[in-house]
Amino acid sequence: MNCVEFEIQLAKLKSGANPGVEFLEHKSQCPKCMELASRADELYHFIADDAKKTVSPFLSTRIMAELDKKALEVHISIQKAWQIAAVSLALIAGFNLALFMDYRQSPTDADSVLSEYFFAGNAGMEIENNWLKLSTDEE
Amino acid sequence: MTENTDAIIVEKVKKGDKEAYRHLVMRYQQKLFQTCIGFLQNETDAEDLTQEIFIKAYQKIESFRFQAAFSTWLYRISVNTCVNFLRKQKVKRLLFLDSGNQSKESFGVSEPADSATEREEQRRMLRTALKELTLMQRKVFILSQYRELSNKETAEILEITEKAVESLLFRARVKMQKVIKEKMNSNIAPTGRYQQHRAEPYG
Repeated sequence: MNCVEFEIQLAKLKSGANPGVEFLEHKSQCPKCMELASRADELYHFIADDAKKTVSPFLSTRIMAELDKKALEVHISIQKAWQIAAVSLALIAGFNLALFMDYRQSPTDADSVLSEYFFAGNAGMEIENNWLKLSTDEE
Repeated sequence: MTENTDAIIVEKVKKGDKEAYRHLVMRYQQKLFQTCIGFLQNETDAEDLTQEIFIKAYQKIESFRFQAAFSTWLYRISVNTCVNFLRKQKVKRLLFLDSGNQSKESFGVSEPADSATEREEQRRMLRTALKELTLMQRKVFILSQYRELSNKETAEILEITEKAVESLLFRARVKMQKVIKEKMNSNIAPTGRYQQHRAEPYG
């Protein structure tokens, strides 16, 4: 077995598996491969130690509390949405009611003519002026 | 057996029994935490992310259709969440030119100085090696090394074939060895980083 074959075999090796005689022979003869194997072993041990780290005992409580908080947030946002919808509906209804009432109290044709006469500036003023003029002439 | 009880609990949760979800959290929190540690190499972030994964899973539990085991579904969420977290961290680092909090991580138990330095060195090497891996290789490596899942289980989670898992794992281990070899070479060279680092305490 040469170094390249050794490295391939090392990468294929599962922890606890028997690597075979050739592998062990090469390992004992080649210091570089021996170091590589030992360092790889150290790294995998490090990973195994890392994986043994335990989670905080309060994590489940934290998760459940967070879920409650989220549920409450959803409840509040639904409540708020209902409130906003109710206020919007009230405003729309109020506006429509005002329009309806205004329509009911809308002036008749005669009222319109009169209001036009009083507020329409020139037309009424002209009649009035003519009138005044006539009455002055008569005098 | 676990799968059956999982299904019963999931049904309960789907019907609105939130307390039942606590059983699932208790059952899987350690496993998900280990997966997160593998991806993030940081205990604090791993714990926060574990919490996020469980909340996400609870919110999406309605979409779980029992086509796979609950654990498979949960692992899928955790792998995707970890990958997304790493992506976001990468973008943040690029935007703010931040070097990250890699060296500020907590190790939980206080260790003797020599042991801590050695572990820090190992972690640095592991991080370098993990960075060398492609995304799929990293997923497979972490699931098999940190969670010690079988190739079949890993294949189910990642929705690939067992052969692909085997091949990805082999390539990942080859890259790991490559990083170790590079480290060995830099250690031999007098100007190597490792050499300098080791020489520091002795002046």
